[in-house]
Amino acid sequence: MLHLITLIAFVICSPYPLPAQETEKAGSAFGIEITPGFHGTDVKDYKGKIGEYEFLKDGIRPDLGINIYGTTKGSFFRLQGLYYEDEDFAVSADIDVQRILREEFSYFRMPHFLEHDPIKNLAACWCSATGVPVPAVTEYEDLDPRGEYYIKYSRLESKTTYRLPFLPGSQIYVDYRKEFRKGHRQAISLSKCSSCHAVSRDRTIDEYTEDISPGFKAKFGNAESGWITLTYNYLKRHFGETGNDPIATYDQALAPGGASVGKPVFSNRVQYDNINLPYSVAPSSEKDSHVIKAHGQLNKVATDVFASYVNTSAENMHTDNEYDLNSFIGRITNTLLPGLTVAGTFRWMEIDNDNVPVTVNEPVALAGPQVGQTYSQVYPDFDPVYNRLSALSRKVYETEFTAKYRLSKKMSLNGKFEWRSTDRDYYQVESGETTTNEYMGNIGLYYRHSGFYGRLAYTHDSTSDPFANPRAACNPSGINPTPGNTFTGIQYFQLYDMRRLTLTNLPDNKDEVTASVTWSISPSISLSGYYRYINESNDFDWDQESHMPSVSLFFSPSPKFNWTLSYLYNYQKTDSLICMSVFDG
Amino acid sequence: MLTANYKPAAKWDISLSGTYTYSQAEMDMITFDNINGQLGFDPATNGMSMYDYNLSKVHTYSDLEIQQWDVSFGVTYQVSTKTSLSAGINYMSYDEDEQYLADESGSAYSGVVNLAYWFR
Repeated sequence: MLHLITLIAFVICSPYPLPAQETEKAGSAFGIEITPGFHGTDVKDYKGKIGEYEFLKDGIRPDLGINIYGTTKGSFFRLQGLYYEDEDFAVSADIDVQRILREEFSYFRMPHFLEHDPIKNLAACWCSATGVPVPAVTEYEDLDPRGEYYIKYSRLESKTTYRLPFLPGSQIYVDYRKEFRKGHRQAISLSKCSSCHAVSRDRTIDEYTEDISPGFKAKFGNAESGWITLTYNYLKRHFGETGNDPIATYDQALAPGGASVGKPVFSNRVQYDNINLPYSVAPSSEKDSHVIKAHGQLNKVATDVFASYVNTSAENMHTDNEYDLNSFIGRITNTLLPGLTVAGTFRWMEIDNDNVPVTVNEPVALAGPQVGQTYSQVYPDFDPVYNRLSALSRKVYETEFTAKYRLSKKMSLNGKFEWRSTDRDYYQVESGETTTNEYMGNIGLYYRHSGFYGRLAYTHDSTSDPFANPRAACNPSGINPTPGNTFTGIQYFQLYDMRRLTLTNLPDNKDEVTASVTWSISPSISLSGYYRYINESNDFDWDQESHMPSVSLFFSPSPKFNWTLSYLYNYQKTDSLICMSVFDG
Repeated sequence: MLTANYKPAAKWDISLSGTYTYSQAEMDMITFDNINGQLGFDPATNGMSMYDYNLSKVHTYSDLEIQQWDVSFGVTYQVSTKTSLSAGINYMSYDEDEQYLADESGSAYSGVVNLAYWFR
C-alpha cells in the first residue's frame, strides 16, 4: 500500500509530456525529475499474507524515481524508472516520432509470496474403542519446514506501432511480451499402501511465457457516411519450465498388518513401487492463434456491425496432447428508432481436443493368495486399459438480444435475453445426455432526476442439465456396504461403481435481484446504497442464498476537504450433499 | 472503509484512508444416518471399529474468522515550483482467530519519505 503511495506521489508530481498536437503549438520542452527518498518497514509475525505482493523487509533502505521527458515539434519521449527494492522496481520508455512510429517499452519486477502448508492436518488415525489413536494411518513429513516460498515475477513488454501516413486510422504493429517466474514453491507428494505418506519438498520454479504478436489494422471510409476497420492479429506463445522437478521415493508396497505383514501381497495393485520418480512436473506448451476482426458503422441506417473469427491451436509438448478452437462472433446494433437501441449477438465455438489412450503397468502379485496373477486376472470385471474421452471437446452456440428504450427523460427500460447451448462430444452430464441449455432473461429499470439516480434489475437463469458429475455419490437412502476381506471382499473399483448420484454446485434455477440508489443531497454530500440478492438451486439437493447490502456516504465540507465512508455486508449460505471418501472409498 | 483528502493550503495535500474487513464462515457438522439396520449388525461391536469414523470435528476445518486493517496517511508539501516533499505511513494487519493450515497472522508498519526535484 505504501509502495502505491510512493508511486502515486511520483506520478502526480510528474508533468506528463504534452500530446503531439499540443506540442506543435507549445514548441520544444525538456525536463528531468528525480525523486530520491527512504522507506522503512517494521514487520511482526508472518509477512507473506499482509505483504503477499510486496517486499516487506525490516530496516530502512533508499528508493529512487527518475522521470526524463522531452517534446519537440510533432514528437515526444518519456523515460521513467522507479527503484524500490532489488525485487521490486520498474522502468519504462514511450517514444513517438511524428505520430508515425511509436515504441512503448516496459519492464518491471515484483515478488509474490506463497503459502507454506505444514500438512499437519493430514495426521489421520484409527482409534481404539476408548478413542486412543492406534496407529497413525497417514504419516506426514515436511522436509523443508523453514522454507519460505515465493515467486520473483518480472515482465518485459514492447509495443512497436507504425501508423500508415497514406491511410489514416491504419497501422501495422509488433507486440512482444515475456514473463519470467523464478523462485520456490511447496510440492507435496502422496504415496499409499504400506506407507500412507504425505511428503512436502521445495520445488524450484524457473518458468517463462513468451508472446510474439504481429498484426495490422486498416480503416476505410469517413465519419459522415460510415467507416469499416479490418484487423488481423497473430499470436505465437511458448511456455517453458526449466526448474528441476522434485523426486519422490515410493516405498515397496508391503502389507501393513495382519498375517501377511511385510510381504508384497499387494504388488499387483500398484503401478510402481520401490522407485524414485519426479513429480509436480510442469509441461512446456505452445499456442498459435489467428484473430480476424471487422467493425463498421453505417451512419445512414444508424447501424453498427462487428464480426470476429478466432482460430487457435495449443499443444502440450510433454504429452503431445492438442486442442483446436474455432470461434465466430457477429453483433449488430441499431439506433434508428428514436429512444430505442437494439442489439443482437450470435456466437459459435467449436473445441476439438485429443482423446488419450490410457495404458497401465499390470504387475503380478509376488506373494499372498493372488501370487502370480495380475489384478485384472483376479477381477475380470476391471479393465485397466481405456480411452480417456475428452470432456473439453464441444460445440457452443450462443445468441443474445438486448434492447434499451427511453420511456421518458427521467426513465429508461433495459431488457436482455440470452440462450447458450453447450453440446459436448463425449462427456455426459446426465445418463445419455451431453447437452446443456441455458436461458437467461434480464429486465432493468433506470431512473434519474435532479440528483437522484436509481436502478432496479431482475435476472432469471434457467439451465437444463448443468455441468455435473453423474456418478459423484452413493444414494443416501441406498445400501451402504462394508468392504470386507481385502482379497475376497468388495474392491475399490466396485465401491466407485456404486456411486450413482449426481452432484454439482451449478444451479438449474437462479434468481437475482439488484437495486442501487445514489442521492446527491447537495454538491458536497451524496449517499449511495446497493443491495444484491441471489437464490439458486438445482435438482441434486444443492441450494445457495446470498445477501449483499452496502452503503456509502461522501462528504466534502469544503473544496479542500472530502471524505468517504462505506460499509459492505456479505452473507452466503450453501446447502449441499457431500460424499465422504474415507480410506476405503 | 474511510477515505479523506484535505488541502489546507495551496502547497499542502493531506490524505487518509482506512479499511477494516471482518470475515467469518462455518460449516454445519457432518452427520450420517445410522446404517446398522441396513447392515443387520453394529460394525463398532463386531470387529470393525476401525470403520466407525469419528467425523465430529471435520466441519471445524471450514471455520474462518479474519480481521484485516489497512490504514494509510500521506502528506505532500510543495516547497517551491521545482521541489516537493512527500511522506507517508501505512499500517497493515491480518489476524486469523481460526486457523486451519497455518497461522498466517501478521502486521507491518511502513514509512516513506521522498523529495522530488525538477530540472527544467
